Amino acid sequence: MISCYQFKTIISQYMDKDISFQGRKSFEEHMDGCPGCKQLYQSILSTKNSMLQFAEMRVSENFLGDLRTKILAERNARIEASLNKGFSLNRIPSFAYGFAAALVAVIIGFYLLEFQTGSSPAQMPPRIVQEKIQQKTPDSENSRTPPLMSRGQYANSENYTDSLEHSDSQNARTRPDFQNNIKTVKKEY
Amino acid sequence: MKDSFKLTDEELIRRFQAGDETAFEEIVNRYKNRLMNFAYRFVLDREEAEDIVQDTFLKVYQNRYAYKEIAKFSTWIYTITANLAKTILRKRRNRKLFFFSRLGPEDKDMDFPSNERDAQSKIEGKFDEQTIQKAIIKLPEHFRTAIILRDIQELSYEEISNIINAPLGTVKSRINRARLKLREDLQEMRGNEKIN
Repeated sequence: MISCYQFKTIISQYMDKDISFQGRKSFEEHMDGCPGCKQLYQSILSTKNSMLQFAEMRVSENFLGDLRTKILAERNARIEASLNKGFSLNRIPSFAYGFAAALVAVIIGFYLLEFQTGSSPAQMPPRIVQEKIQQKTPDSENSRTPPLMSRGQYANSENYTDSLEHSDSQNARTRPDFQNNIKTVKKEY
Repeated sequence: MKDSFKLTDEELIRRFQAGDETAFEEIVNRYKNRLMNFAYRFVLDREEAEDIVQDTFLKVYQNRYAYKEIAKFSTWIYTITANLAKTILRKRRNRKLFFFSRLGPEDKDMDFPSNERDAQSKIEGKFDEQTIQKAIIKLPEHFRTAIILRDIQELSYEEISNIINAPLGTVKSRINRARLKLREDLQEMRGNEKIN
């Protein structure tokens, strides 16, 4: 047997026949033994049935004509607005802004990289690349190339920069044949 | 469009999307009164209800390509109408606040459609259409939407769930609570009538 509270919670399920067999049985049992709940059920059912019989509302006779006018007016307004607008930032699709920003970022990044590789003497090719360069460069240039450095020495690049200042190896590194060598070795590497 | 009566709503909107304007006319003819009924029960004002229905069709016309055949067309169009009706109510509330007016839709003289059954209902002790409609308009917005869609428009729980964008369980409990609240309000109104 269900309580009055439970009865109230399933009243619509019973009304809409959306209830299990067991639930239905319990509902009816409770309704038979509780006049208050029976009255509540009958009252709600009666209101529900009354609502189904409400007079149907109909649109006015000139509804279709008004709708057609509204659609045409709206269409004309749109055309007029697009003709009068001329150039406007609003008309540029949003993805174009993103694309432009990405393009600018790429260009800036490219120039920054170019600038860094051309000017910074502290950046050295990796050890294996250095070894290859040493193998490939002629003997005359061996004296000019910087000495092979260990990993620890790379970290302390200030010493290396100082040594470059005293030698003319900087000039050798900027020479085109030296650069070409680096490129070839990088490719192989 | 001679064979339009055979077509489903989804087929009609597909034709309209392909550029067939007569399909749109058929959609309007199918839904104008149904939506009018819904909008009127929601705002209880004939002119506003008709404006809502017109705006609904205008939106369907403009956003025809936004409809995807994931949901039923009826669900889509009812959702548009419900949203427009809610907007009207919100505007009305704001206007009311702005002018410090105490006249709400429930206090106004409303134009109810004539119904001969009302007289008979009164004799039987039932609530007449006007009284029920007045009680419906006093319900909170979410109860009102649920009860109109279920008990007046006779939509299924699933359709209501899609229209109001709420889980099925929520819809069921909301409809139950709305019916109980409506009954309570009607009893209260009857009590007041007796006192007066």
